[in-house]
Amino acid sequence: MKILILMILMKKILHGVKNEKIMEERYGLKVFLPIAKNYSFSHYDDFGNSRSYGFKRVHLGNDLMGSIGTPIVAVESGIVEHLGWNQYGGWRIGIRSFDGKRYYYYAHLRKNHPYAEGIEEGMTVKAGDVIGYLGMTGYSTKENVNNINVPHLHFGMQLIFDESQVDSPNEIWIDVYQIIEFLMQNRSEVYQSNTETKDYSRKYDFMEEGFEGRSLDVIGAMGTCYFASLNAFRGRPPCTYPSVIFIVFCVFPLVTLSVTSSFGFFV
Amino acid sequence: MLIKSFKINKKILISTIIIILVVILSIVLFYSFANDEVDSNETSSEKDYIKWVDFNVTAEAMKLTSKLDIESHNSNAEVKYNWIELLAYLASQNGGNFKNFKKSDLDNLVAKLDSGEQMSDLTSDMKFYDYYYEAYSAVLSGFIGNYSIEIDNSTNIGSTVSDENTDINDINEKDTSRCKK
Repeated sequence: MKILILMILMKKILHGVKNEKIMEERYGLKVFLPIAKNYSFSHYDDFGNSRSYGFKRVHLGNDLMGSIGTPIVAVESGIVEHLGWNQYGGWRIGIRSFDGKRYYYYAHLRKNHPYAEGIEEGMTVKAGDVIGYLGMTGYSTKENVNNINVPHLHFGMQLIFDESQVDSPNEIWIDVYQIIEFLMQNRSEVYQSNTETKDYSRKYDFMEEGFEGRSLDVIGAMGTCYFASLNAFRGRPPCTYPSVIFIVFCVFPLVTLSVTSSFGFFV
Repeated sequence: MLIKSFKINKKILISTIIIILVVILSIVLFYSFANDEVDSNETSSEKDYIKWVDFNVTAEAMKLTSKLDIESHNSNAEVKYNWIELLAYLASQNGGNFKNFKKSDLDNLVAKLDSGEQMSDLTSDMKFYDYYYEAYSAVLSGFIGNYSIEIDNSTNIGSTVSDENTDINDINEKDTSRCKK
């Protein structure tokens, strides 16, 4: 954790930003309401209500009614598992928690510009990061179509005890209405970070233990490479071997990361 | 020195290193996938996992239990509460239906824990405690823990994370000074 805090501070120093903020370690609530701070919304417990688009089914989430463009933030840190168009969810994003037990589903995001800058499938996001913008897309096989009348975020949580439950008739979706009520106390503040694209970012950085493990693996791999290079070419300036530098600092880290991830060393 | 004394061609050395790395990677990946297959066979034969969860815990119950958890940890109290254990205990008593949840039920449990009783003893006769604990852990295990948050240097501690925020972050404000950088 301390290494990461140091890295964040170093990054800011390199970018010429004055040290106006400090990182503080805490024990407490580390999940956020999906609607960014200072943006209003309304909701009621609509879990299990009937839905008719596509086939007769029930509503497996909680609709948070708000204004189009409201920044949506990640409730919990995790890995972006799904990103793109779905005829039911429109522009949607699915994020799996690090322990693999929770799949957070954010749907009906904004037409034309549904996602926050830089969001990609497979990437890691932190709790409170801006991931997209509220909209009313969906209920259409055609991409980028608004067939929903009321702008809202569909927020859902799926529980996964076994991977066979991920995409099957045995999916477990829970009623998140009370969780939304509970999360009202913790909201992520955002600001417009790109005036051209009108993208938003979180105002205050956040770090948690899962990220520490991931980053330390990378740091560890790089450190291993460094010492390996020192040992292998002791007495010789390593800069005279560009190919060796490439192997040591590019190939070897990749190999190390592949090995650690294949053994499940990542959280 | 080694390279010079044995007159090894640099290209050959580099190629050798690459080949060795690729071979190591291949071996590791082979065995990791082999292990995965074994694991998947084991899980498919066991299939002993939770098939259904009705999550009916109210926000009030979550607020009260999380407050106990956070407060006890931040104050380094003698008895540290685990909010998921508390909720699982209550669920075992009310069948997972928190509509009629009473704070006094939680107070009674807390009194027992404060008097030195262990959760494992209190729940030993509860048939569904393990189920509720596992189910609620799946829902809530990522909610509370250690983290770092950026705060304004000039402002009061804790003024950034929450807005109209309330009890839980008030606790954080009061009790995290000990771990302030």
